[in-house]
Amino acid sequence: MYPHERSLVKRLADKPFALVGVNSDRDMKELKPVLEQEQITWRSFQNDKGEGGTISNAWNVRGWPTLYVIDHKGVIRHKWLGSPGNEVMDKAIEKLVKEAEGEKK
Amino acid sequence: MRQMLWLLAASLLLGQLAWADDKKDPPPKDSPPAKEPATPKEKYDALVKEFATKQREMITQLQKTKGEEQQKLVQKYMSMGQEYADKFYKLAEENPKDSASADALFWVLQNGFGSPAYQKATTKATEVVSEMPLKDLANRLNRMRMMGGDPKFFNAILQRAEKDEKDSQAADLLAWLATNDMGSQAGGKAAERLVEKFPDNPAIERLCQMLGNGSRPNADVMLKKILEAAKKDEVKAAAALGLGKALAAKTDTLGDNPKEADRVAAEAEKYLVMVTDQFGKESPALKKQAEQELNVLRHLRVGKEAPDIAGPDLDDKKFKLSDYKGKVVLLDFWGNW
Repeated sequence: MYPHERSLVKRLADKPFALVGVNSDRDMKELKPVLEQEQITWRSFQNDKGEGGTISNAWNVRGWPTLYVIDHKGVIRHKWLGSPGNEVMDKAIEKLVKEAEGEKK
Repeated sequence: MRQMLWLLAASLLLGQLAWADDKKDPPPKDSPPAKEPATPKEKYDALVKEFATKQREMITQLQKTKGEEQQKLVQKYMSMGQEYADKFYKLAEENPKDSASADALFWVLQNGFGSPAYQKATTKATEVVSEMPLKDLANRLNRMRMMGGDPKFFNAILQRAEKDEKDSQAADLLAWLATNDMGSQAGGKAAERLVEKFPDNPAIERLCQMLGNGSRPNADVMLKKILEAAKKDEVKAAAALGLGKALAAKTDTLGDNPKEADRVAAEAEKYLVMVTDQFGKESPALKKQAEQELNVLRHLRVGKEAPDIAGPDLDDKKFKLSDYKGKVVLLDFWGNW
């Protein structure tokens, strides 16, 4: 997962796109070196510290990873349990990024 | 890598199940342990035991190894059924008149896919299925799970169920086919016939659950038939829940077609409300599931505005999902375990 996510973030750096995580690790001490090593630069919520309770429960997450794609208006457009494959994910995101750019012009 | 681990976990679990099965059937007490197995039934039991012992040994070995070595062992573990298929088939061939012969043939069908004995065992098993007492066959099938297999075998069971359809035990055959054979046509036909002839058979509830989880094409058509034909509220609840779930899952594939997503969602909602308000009184578990599905459908499906998230990031600085409005967001529920 990490290499593909890194490349997505890099490739779409100047576009209206953001990768946001919801992380379920309990031990931040163990996680911190991984963030550095894997160059995980994107922001993540702490799953069990959401203001409305555990975020994965509120979002009905049944397995990890679960991925949601939300468009620039805040509407859920795709939902995957497990990665659908890099190509499918890239296509879906790029299409929505174009939609977002189109509306700005 | 993570997938590999899952595969391993699954196969370990299967091994343990086989072990549990073995325990359920202790060898007859009157045979002293040192004696060579004499009757076909004893020989069959001995083979089953030997296989289970080998599986257990291999699991112990597996837990001690890592990496490539472990992967090789997993493969070996998976192919053990093929290795034993010949032994079981030989036992069946040598004792065609004994009931242990049918046990041995069915063992090959369950465990020996891909072995040279598998085809031969299928041919023989289809003959056995058409000849053995119906009750005997129903009992054997009820102890047996088969995900996929030779269509010839499934067809033979369907034919047998059709031949004896006046006998209530034919329903067991149909139920077994409908919930085991999710791939070929026999399973679909059996499900239709079961719904038609035995609309309140208890297996239909399980069938609804499987259909609702999307394991068969045109699941919604069949679930609608079940809902219409059922007389008991429990069965209606199961069918309506299955329909709601199947339709709700469909909305998640309609990201590019919001109007269609809304239409399908409205239909899903209709069936889920049937469970919560109408048929679910005697089925609290189904009712609870329907409530959860409704919550997802109303707030978390494709086409709905994403609920906001607020909370601390990994450096304990607060932020919100809605901070990213105007951008496309890939929201990733992840963990580094």
